[in-house]
Amino acid sequence: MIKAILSGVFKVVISLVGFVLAPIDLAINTALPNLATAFNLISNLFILIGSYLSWVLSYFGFYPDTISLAVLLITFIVTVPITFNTIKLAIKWYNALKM
Amino acid sequence: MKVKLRYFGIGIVIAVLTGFVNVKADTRSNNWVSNIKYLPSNASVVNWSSETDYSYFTPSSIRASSLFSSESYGDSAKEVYNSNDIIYYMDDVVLGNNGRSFGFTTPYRLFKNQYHAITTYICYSGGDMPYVTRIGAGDSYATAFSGRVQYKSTVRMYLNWIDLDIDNATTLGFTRLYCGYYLSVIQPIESSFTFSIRLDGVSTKNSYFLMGIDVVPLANADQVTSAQIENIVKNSGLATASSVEEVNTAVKKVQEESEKINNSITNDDVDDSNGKSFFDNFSTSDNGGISSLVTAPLKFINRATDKCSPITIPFYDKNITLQCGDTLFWNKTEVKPLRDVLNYITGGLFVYFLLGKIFKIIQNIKNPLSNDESEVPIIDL
Repeated sequence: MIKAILSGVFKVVISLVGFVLAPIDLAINTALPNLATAFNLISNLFILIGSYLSWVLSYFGFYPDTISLAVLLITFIVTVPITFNTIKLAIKWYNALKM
Repeated sequence: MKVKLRYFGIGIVIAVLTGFVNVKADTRSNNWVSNIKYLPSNASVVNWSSETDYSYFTPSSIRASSLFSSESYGDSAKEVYNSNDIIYYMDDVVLGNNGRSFGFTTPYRLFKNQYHAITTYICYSGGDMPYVTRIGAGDSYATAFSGRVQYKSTVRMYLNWIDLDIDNATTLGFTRLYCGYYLSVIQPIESSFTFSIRLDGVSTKNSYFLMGIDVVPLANADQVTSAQIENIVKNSGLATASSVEEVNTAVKKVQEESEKINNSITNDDVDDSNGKSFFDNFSTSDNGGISSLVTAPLKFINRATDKCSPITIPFYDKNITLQCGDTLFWNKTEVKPLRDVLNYITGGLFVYFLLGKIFKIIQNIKNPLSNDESEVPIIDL
C-alpha cells in the first residue's frame, strides 16, 4: 500500500518536474549538448548506485514496510515544499492576472 | 566519520562471510551425517508407563571421537562433530508400555507461530527402527503435519550403518550401529527451547543414540494457515519419500511453496493491468539535461523499495554470487525477535519524524487566496 502511494508520488513529481523544466532542457539540449551529456552521466551514476541499494539495505534487516516509511519521509521532505510552493506561485499568478 | 565508515565496511564484510557459512549449513546434503546441524544438549530420557505417566532417567553418553573413530565414517563425521562433543544414548533402562522419549534442549527457541521441518537423527544397536508416536516442542508437544494421522505423522527413514572399532565394540557391547532419521513438519503449541521425540517399539536389549538434529524454519503461522501448510506437505511427496534425495527434494518444495504463499500475502506488486491507474498517465521519463539531474535523487531513493536480488561478480573464470542479507541472516528464526525490535524502533522513529514534518508544514501554511498573511489556525502541541 505504502509502496503504491510512493510510486504514484514519484510519477507525479517526476512528471511535474519534467513539465516545468521542459523549455530549459530543450534549450540546453540544443545549445549545449555536451552539458546535457554531462548531466545525463551524473544521472546514470545515480541509477547505477541505486541498482545496488536494495542489496545493501538487505543487510540492515529492515522490513520492506520500514524501508517504505523511510523513503516516504525522505520523499515528503524533498517533494512537498517544491510542490506546495509551485502551486502557491501558480495561484498568486492567477490572482495577479485576475486583477 | 572516516572511522564510522570503516566500522560499517568491516560489519558488511563480517555479515557476508557469516552468510557464506550459513548458506553452507542451510543446504541439505545427501550425506546424512553432513545434514546434522545441531547437537542436542541437556538430554534426558523419559520412560512412559502409560499415556500420561512417566519417569525421568539420565541418559548415558559417549564422546564423538570414540564413536566415530572408524575409518569409514571419519571424514563426514569430522565436519559435524568435534572430538569432545557428547552423544547421548539410552540403554537398559526399565521399559514402560508407552515407549521412551528423548527430551533435549534446542539451540534456539522454537516459536509457536512458526512451522518447522525438524529432522532427528537416531542410531540404534539392533532390532527394528522404532516408530515415533509423539514429537514436538515444550510440554504440550506440537501439531505435526505430513499427510498422515497426527502423532503418527513423522517420516521415518532408515539410512545405513556405522561399524565400530574393536575397542568401542567391546565397551558398548555391539559392533554395528544402524542409523536413520525422523522428519516432521510441526507447529509448536507453545514456544519452547525443549524438544521431545517419543519412540515406540524400543527394546531393552538395544541402545539408542541421539545423533543430532536439523531444523528448517518454514512459513510463519500468522500468514500461512495450517490447512495450507498441510496441503503443501501432502503435495510435496514427503510422506511417500523413500530416499534421502527424495526427502531433501520434498523439504525444499515445502520451503519454496510456503515461501510463495508468504510472499503473495505481503506482495505489494499487485497486478493492476485490468484497471486503468490514475498515475499511469504521468510520464516518468525525463527530457534529459537538467530535469534528469533534478529527478536523479528521487529515482535513486525509489530504488530502495525494490526487492533485493543477489549480486553476481565475475572473478577470473568464476562468478561469485553475493547473497542478500535476508537470505543469509535476517530471515532466520533465531534473529526474528531482534529484527522485530529493530524495525519497531526505526519504523517508530520514521513515523514520528514524518508526522512532525507534516505538522510543521501545516503550521506554516499561509492561505494563498487571502490578502493578509494569516496562517492556518492550528493548535500548538
